Amino acid sequence: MIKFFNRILWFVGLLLLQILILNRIHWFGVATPFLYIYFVLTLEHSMSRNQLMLWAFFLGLAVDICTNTFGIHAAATTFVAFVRPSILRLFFIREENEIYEPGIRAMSPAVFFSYAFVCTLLHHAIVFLLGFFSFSRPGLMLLHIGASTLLTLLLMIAVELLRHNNR
Amino acid sequence: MRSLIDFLYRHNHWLVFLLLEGISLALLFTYNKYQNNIWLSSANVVTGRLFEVEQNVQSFFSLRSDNKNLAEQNARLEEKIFRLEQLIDSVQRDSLVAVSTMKRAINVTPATVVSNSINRTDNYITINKGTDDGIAPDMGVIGSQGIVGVTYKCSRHYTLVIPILNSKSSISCKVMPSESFGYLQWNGGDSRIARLCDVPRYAKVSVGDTIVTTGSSTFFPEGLPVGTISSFDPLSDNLSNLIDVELYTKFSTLRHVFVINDPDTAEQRELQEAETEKKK
Repeated sequence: MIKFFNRILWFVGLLLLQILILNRIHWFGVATPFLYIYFVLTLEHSMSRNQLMLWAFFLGLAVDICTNTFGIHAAATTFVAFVRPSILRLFFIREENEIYEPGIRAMSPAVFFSYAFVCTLLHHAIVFLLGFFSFSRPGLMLLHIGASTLLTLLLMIAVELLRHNNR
Repeated sequence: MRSLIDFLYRHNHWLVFLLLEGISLALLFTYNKYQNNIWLSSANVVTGRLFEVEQNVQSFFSLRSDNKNLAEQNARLEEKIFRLEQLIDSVQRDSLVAVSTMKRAINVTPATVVSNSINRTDNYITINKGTDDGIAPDMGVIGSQGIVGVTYKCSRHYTLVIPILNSKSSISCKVMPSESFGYLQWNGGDSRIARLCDVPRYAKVSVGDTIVTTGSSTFFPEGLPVGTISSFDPLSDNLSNLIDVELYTKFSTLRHVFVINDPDTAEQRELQEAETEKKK
């Protein structure tokens, strides 16, 4: 129960952070961090895919509602939640019945960041693909994806380190 | 069935995934004008291509009926050409040279008058085209207004023409519209007036009637303009009229002429000559 409330707290906190602050950032006109997927990345390992996707969908939908981009973030986040278990298995092998949250504590920092990098890149790629919705300016789109992924990752590392040191 | 349900149950996260993504994309295309527009227009491109391919396939299958239609159209056009050719034959007099060229069998060679005379009894015209240009004796020569004469002798580059204004010249003509035959001759005098002989008395002629070639002379195609009747008197023999014809061709200023080479007339001439030889 405490875990659930904790999760809700993270959900709302990241959502507010995203809407109120991060969406206003438009670094050099190309980079916007989408830190809210940190929530999806750090959900418990034991959680089923369906649960993951539902959480992710509603988080994405909430972001969409607040930024008037119906469907874009929901689609991207749901996709990340869908492929998360596979990516996790790719980088990190543990016994299935063990319960852990993906993070620096459970994994090594290098493993967590490579996992986070792949997921973030996928998410941002989908967000900008759906946002541009054309391949007429592939260079600009790649720049958007790369810069935003970099920014999101930096913020994610900061948050992860803060959280780790607090505990 | 059971295994199917098992399969679906095992992979139910796929269904959930597709459902959620479906909802997301539905929202995307419903509430975002930009994506909606692009989606619609690209869909139009796809359907456009599809219809194009369909059209191509369909046109292949309708080749047979298309062929039939084209054949029918061809037939109609052939018929039309035939009718128009006949029409051209009937209005030949109006545009002499153009019509002469239009008839495929007839070759027309343009030539320029090199020397000319009108004041003798036997006048001759020399033109600057000869055998090298495909000209032979006994070909008709016309000007832009009417007939001029007949070729007489050819060198390689020059040809001597016997015009109407020569006592040897005798060209078969008829009076339109009564279609009475006669021979056009000239006995000196005014270069603008020739004489139409042997027109029977009973033939209805009047001043202003048009004289055209008959086509029986083998030099000219039928219906080329010659002149108009300026006056006529009954002859003393009471059989024929003496008809004065004002020639269309102005011999005093004649410059450009056309030599008519109708291959068909050679055949006609051969036949007639054979007949006359037999009589001898």
